[in-house]
Amino acid sequence: MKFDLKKIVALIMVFAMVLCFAGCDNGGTTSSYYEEVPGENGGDNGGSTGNNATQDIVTEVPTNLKGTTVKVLFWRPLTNDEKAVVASFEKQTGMKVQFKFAANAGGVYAELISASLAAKEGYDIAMFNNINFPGRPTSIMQPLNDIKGFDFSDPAWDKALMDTQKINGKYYGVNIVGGHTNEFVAMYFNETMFKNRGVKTPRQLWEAGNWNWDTFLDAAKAMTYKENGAQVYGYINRGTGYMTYWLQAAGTDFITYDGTKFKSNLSDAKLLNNIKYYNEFRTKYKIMGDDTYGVPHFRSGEAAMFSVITYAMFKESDTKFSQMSDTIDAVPFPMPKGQKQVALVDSCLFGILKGAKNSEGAAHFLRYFLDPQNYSMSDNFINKNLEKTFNELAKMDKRVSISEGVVNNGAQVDFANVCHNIVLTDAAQVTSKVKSYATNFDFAVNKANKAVK
Amino acid sequence: MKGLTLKKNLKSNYEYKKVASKVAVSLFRYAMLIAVGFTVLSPLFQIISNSLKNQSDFMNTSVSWIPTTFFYQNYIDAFHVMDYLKTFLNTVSIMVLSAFLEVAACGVAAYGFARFKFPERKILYALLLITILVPVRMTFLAQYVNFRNFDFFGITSIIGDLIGKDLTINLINTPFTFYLPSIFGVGYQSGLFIMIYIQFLKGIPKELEEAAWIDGAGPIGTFVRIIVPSSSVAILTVTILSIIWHWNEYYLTALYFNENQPLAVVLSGIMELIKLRGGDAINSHTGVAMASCMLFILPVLIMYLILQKKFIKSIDSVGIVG
Repeated sequence: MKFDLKKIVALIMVFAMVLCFAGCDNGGTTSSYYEEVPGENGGDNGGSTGNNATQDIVTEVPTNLKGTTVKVLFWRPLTNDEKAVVASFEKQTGMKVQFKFAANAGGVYAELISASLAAKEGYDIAMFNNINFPGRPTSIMQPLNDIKGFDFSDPAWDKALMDTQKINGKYYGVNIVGGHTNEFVAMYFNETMFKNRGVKTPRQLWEAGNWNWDTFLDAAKAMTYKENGAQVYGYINRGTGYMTYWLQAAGTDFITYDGTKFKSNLSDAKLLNNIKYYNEFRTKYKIMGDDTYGVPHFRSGEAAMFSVITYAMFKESDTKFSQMSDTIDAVPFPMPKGQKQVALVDSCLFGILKGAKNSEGAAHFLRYFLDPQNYSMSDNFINKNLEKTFNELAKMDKRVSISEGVVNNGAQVDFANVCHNIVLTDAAQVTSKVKSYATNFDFAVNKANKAVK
Repeated sequence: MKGLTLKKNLKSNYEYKKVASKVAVSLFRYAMLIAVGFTVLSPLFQIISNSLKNQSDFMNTSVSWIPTTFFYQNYIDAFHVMDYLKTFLNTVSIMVLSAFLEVAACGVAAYGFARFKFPERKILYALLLITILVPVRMTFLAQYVNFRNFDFFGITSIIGDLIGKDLTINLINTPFTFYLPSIFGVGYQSGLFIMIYIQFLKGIPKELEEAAWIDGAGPIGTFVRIIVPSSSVAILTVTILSIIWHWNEYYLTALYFNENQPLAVVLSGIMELIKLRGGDAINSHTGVAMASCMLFILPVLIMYLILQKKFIKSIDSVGIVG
């Protein structure tokens, strides 16, 4: 009897441990835990303007959507401006919007989406960017063309951007021209340094219609000098991985996508030449330092030009260009001479999840939420020139690099490492170095092609 | 006489060489220790240094280790950005409490493994090892679904079906997502803690328990009165490790908690928070981020400094490393 008791106690102790480990799907639920977006107390920055244009959007929302809820999976906590816009939407439409976000600013966003789908929580909206393409849209999102509420004849939708990640003729993600979540690549420059040296600034070249790779190189050469024994470089990049800006600008990339198919271009002579051209900044022209992270060098006046996305144009950005005593400015990223100027983009597109319960409401909400007219963006720019460049970039045709997403999803190599290794290779060895990744890239491209089939 | 002088010289020469080699070895040893020590500690020094820099120090690439002025404002800003007091209390109430529950539950489970022989023991032991080997990233989905629609052993849904109501409970955003696994011995790193306990319990003489049984104590009584008081060393080791690992955990907490997050989650998204809560008003984003790191590790560091001697002693006794 005593033995039996011991056995039972032991079994209970260890079974309790093991059983709890097993996860089992118990179907849907009704209880809610989402963070409710605050009502009228939500924002203190007065983000919502409620002007006529956005008023029209709200009046177009069908009355039968009143009382329904739109559920959004966001990759970061909302800003005060965003909270105010959501509150304004709720007030005007009678709809409810519930947000759930990755508490550590994107760190677990992919896991959060997977978990919410597995738990059948019925979320409507999620975000994807060029790094998640084509994996995220093809696996968990639905085509938007047939969803009620999206009017793609509306010129506000940034079709130039959305077209870059269309799949078989259908949109999977939307954003709005000049929206606050857009990020474009810009060429920043230290205007004070240019003026002190008497060199024509990139803005002067841009406004004269003479801003291209050749004039960039001339400007960078003129701004590479030694001052009190310290080396000043004409240009510094955001990091070695960002060589892709230069490839994108020339219309080449490691992997390209034509709307239906992905293609690896590792043997493309144009691509190899562009990589060599970029490597020569460091090896031949010596206009660029070896540093892998350029922000502090640009800030301290050790580099005259610097390329990074447009987030650095804003006062609250951690690049802290707002605290530089020198005047900074930015122009669109230069293109090879003779090529049409386009905006290079780090895309941010919002799609409707498979199994969404209120896709029509979600469509109306996205149109309102992403509209730049609802945000007081103008106050946040460091200076008026930067705002001007941002607005010009917003209106241009867009070009996105999808290489990173495709490679990281299927090539079993890290794209940033690949770029780093290629950048630090001598120009003579570039071709063989690039081709050494051919098998990995082909594998990734096949995987991506299967996904979009 | 000549031979004696030569012998003396040889001896002194030999001693000189011996002393010289001892000094050289000591110097080498110290150089190695300093090098290794610096390698290990330099990130911490860098964090301390950066947490005291203002933006102009960050912009000045000639300022490396020592800031031109000690900018304590970073700590004040970090305190506000992290909402430190509230977040600290969240960490204590969720993670530290969960760590204590885990320490207790793992001890009970380990006692079962170490002292009772039953046919399924080996299979369950293998399953225990699996809980150590399988990474959290493979199980989070099942666990999330489980907590989202919590159904205790399927009983809740059976009752729900009978009465026509969905009785499953949503535990996401509640501390139970950590308490429950800890109570059942499957919490964060529980497998490892059970192993530590088992190793230690195997070293306790069985005679002590047998004496307790003769005196009429059952298994639970023996565990509470004999095993627990004899295992203070193992308990201390497991407690400190469990608290530290719970303190640092941010992956599951970021998924489970949309509000009332603990410090580790807040820290993992600190740059975004600085932008949202401080923005342009903050002098140096990097400085505040580094000050946040210091505020994050400070409580654990204080705890470790207080318990350092006992911890090292206990680590020796249970025979594990770091």
